[in-house]
This record gives sequence, C-alpha cells and structure tokens, in this order.
Amino acid sequence: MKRRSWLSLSGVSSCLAIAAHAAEQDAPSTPSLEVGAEGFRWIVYGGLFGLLLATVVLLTIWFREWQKGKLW
Amino acid sequence: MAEPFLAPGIAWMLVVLFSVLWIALGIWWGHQGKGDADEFMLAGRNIGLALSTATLMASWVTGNTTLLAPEFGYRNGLWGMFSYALAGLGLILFAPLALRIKDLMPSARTSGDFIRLRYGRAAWWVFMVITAIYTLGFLITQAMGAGILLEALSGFDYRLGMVVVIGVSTIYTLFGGMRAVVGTDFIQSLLIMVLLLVVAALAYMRFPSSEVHQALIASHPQRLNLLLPAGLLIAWNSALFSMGEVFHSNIWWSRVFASRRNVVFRSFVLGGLGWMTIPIVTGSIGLLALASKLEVPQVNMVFPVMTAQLLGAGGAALVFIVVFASLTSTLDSLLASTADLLAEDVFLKLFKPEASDRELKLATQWMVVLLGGLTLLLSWPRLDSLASVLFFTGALVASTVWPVACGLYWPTASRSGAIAAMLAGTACGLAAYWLIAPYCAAVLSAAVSAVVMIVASRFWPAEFRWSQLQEEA
Repeated sequence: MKRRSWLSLSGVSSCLAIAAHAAEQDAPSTPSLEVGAEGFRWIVYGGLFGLLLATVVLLTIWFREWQKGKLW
Repeated sequence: MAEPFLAPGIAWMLVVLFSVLWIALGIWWGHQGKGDADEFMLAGRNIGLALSTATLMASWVTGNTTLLAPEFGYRNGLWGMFSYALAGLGLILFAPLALRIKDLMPSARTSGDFIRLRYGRAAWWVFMVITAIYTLGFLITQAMGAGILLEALSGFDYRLGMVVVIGVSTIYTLFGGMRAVVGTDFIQSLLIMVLLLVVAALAYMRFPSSEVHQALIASHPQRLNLLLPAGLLIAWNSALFSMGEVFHSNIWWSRVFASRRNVVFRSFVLGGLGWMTIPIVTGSIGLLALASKLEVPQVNMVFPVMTAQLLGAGGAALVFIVVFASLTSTLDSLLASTADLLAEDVFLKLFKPEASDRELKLATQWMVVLLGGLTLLLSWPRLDSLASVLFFTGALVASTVWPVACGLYWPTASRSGAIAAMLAGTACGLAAYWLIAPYCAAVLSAAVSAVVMIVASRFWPAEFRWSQLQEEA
C-alpha cells in the first residue's frame, strides 16, 4: 500500500477521533441523520445477502480446489 | 443464576459430539504430510484459497462476534453494528502486506522473525512484551468467555465449560498442529455462517425490516442516527485496534507463511469481506430484539434470548453450536500460532540454535500443552469485565501497526524509530485509556506511533537491504 494511503488513513482517523470527542463534550445537541425505512432494509438484507454470498463463494472455491486436489 | 437456554442433557450431547469430531479430525490430519516441523507449524506451506480464507474467518470470529456484536447493535444501534464490522478492515488492509511478507521472507516462520531481522534484538524484546501481553489477554478472555457463555447457555459450571473448550482445542492442536487447526477452522466457519443465516432469515421472516424500522423510529430513533459522535469514535477505534491485532499477531503471520503465494492476497481480502457480514447480521438481531421490546436479563445475552424465543429449544441448540465453534476455532489458532512463536523465536533462536527439526517440532508441541495449562490457570478465578481487558490491549497492539507497515516498505525505517514508536504509542494509548475513555486508546496509540515512525524515518533514516530478511533461510 502506498505511503500516502497510510498517511491519509492515519490523518482521517485522528481528525475523526478528535472531532467526535470534541463534539460529544461541547455540543449539547448534535446533528442527526436518521436512516429511512428503505436504507434500513438495504442494510439488513444486504448483510444477510452478503453472508449468503460469502458462504456460497467459499463452498464453490473449496469444491473447485478439492476437484483439482489443491486444497493443501 | 438465570434459567439456561438449553437442557443440560442436550448440551452435553452436543459437546461430546463436536469434541469427538474435532479431536478425531485433528489426529487424522496430523498423520497427513511429511511430519516435520514445517508441517506441524505451517501445514506444509501449501494451503489453498478455500482453507486459507476459512481459517482467517474462523479465527477472527470469536465468542465476542456472536454475542458482543448483537449487544453493540442493541446498545448503539447502526453504528454499533458498523463499528464491530469495521474490525474486518484489519484483515483487508493486511492483504498487500501479506503478499510483501511472502515475497520478502518465503522461508520465515513467525512475526518475531521479521521484527528481529528488520529492527534487531532490542526492538524484538519490546515487540515480544507487547505480543505476550496481548496474547495472554486474548487467551484469557476467550477461556473466560467459554466458561461464562457455556454456563449461561446450558447451565454448565463455569470451570467445567472452560476446561472442556480449552481441553478439546489443546488436544487436537497438539496432535494435528496447523493442519488440524486449518481443517477444523473450515468446518467451523461453515457451521457458523450457515447457522447464522438460518437464524437471521427466520427472525426477519417473522419481523419484516419495515416493522423493525417503524418500532425503532418510535422508541429509539438515536439508534438509527448515522451522525452519532461516539459511534464514529468507536468505529475508528475498532478499525485501528483490529489493524494492530492483525498486523502484529503471529496468528495472521502464520497464515501468510502457511498459504500458497498466489492465494495470500485474495484470502485476506475475501476473509475480511466475508467476516464483515457476520457482525452486521448478528448486530441486526440486536436491533430486532430492541424493536420487539424483548426482555433481556443480561444485555450480552441478546442473541441467545432472541433465538430461543424465535426457534425454541432448536434455536438454543443452534446458538450453542455457533458459540462452541467460534470459541474452539479462535483458541486453536491462538494456541498453535503462539506455540510457533515461542518455539521458533525463544527456543530455537534464543536458547538452542543447533536444535534439530525433530527437537523444534517437539518444542512446539510442548508449548501448546504449556499454553493450554497456563490459560486454564490464569482463567480459573472468574472476572466478568472482559471488554476492559480487550480495550487495554488495544493501546499496546495499535502501536505496532506503523513499525510493521513501514518496516515492510521503507528501507529508511530505523530500529530506534520502531522502538520509539512502539513505546511512545503504547504510553499515549494507555494515558488515553485512563484519562479520556477506553475506546480512545487504540486511536491515540496508532496516531502517536505513526508520527514518531514517520519523523524518525525522515530525519534519521536507516539504510536497510531487503536481502537481510532472507538470510535466515
């Protein structure tokens, strides 16, 4: 990974940490962005679909490697 | 004590069934291959994509992933789920480094090998102290978690549950080495994924997402807020903590050395992505429990309570299998990789460099037994505040991210810079842990360590030759 990517990740995380902590300490009313019903549906079923996909992909790769005798 | 979810008779039957299965498979796999030290420690260095991906996922799915992630969802809402899922970033971001490690050190065995050859013996000592504290903390939390969870799920005595899980993991790791660990990890990861799919699908068939959303908007709208400041902070702490855990721990380095070169990168990316779906799914069960106003005696029991209510005794049995598989798959990896580290770095490189291959393998087997025994001894007195132990180790391991990453890519990364980065990062992380909040520890530790490492490499550069990493072979 490039040096710039690592630096960006470090910078972003530090800024977020400081900003989040400061916001929590100073601001009595923080901004709000509530997820709607559609967004919530995407998150829940997206997670389920992702897990199903991961299971199918893992089994498929295993089957192909097992057929070729390349499991280990 | 609250009523257990599963009748003790059924729980015993499941324990015996899976214990016999893991031990029999471990012994059988232990008889495959050449039988030398490399075979025992790294499964012959030829693992394919399926087993490599599965062992990464299974090792990263701890008892916490199935029980703490729903608690995070229940307590903190969407950010609770996301923050736990972001721990998968540790595996994904390690993928390019894993490939680099495989290229630079094709014959190495442990993460300690890299630190010693790259930064020298003094840095190795600092690294080993950090890794020892982290590994012991991890082993103890898993062992105690085993006792506490089996007690809550099935009414087993705390110590009995702990002895069963540690005993089974130690026996099959002792006889089968890394091959047994990787083989059982594949079955355990599939069990976890399929059973979680069944539970979550049945749960959302009964309570559609629109109903859950409506109930949450009415009673707990903050749980759906994407701009929750504490949520953002916990999420980034989780990502950096996981990077610290993965980048330094020999659990993941041993997978790099054990896998074929052409699968290393893909297995870490696939393993990380696949793993991230598990806390999203278990976390959403926590939200579902909140929306359905479920009575939960202890908040970390959200997942078993919800599943038992939805699916009755069958559901409780499914949760028991998932938790048992999660615990054994993590403990076996910890035992095997830590035994490798101690045998290679301490026994072979520090005390007996002339040891034969057979002596090295025997030393590794002794280390597995000693670690199993030590874990039992340290976990015997029961502690209930396990999360604080984990956050504490976050301050230490996050300080190793930059020395490892920079040491793999920058020839200018120096030994004094690496030592200073680990010490300064740890000190600031611990200060943040005590003075600000436990979940700030990893963020501060990684940030300070990065600054020290970059400044030291820029102003006091070293001139490292990459070929020095291969001299060990």
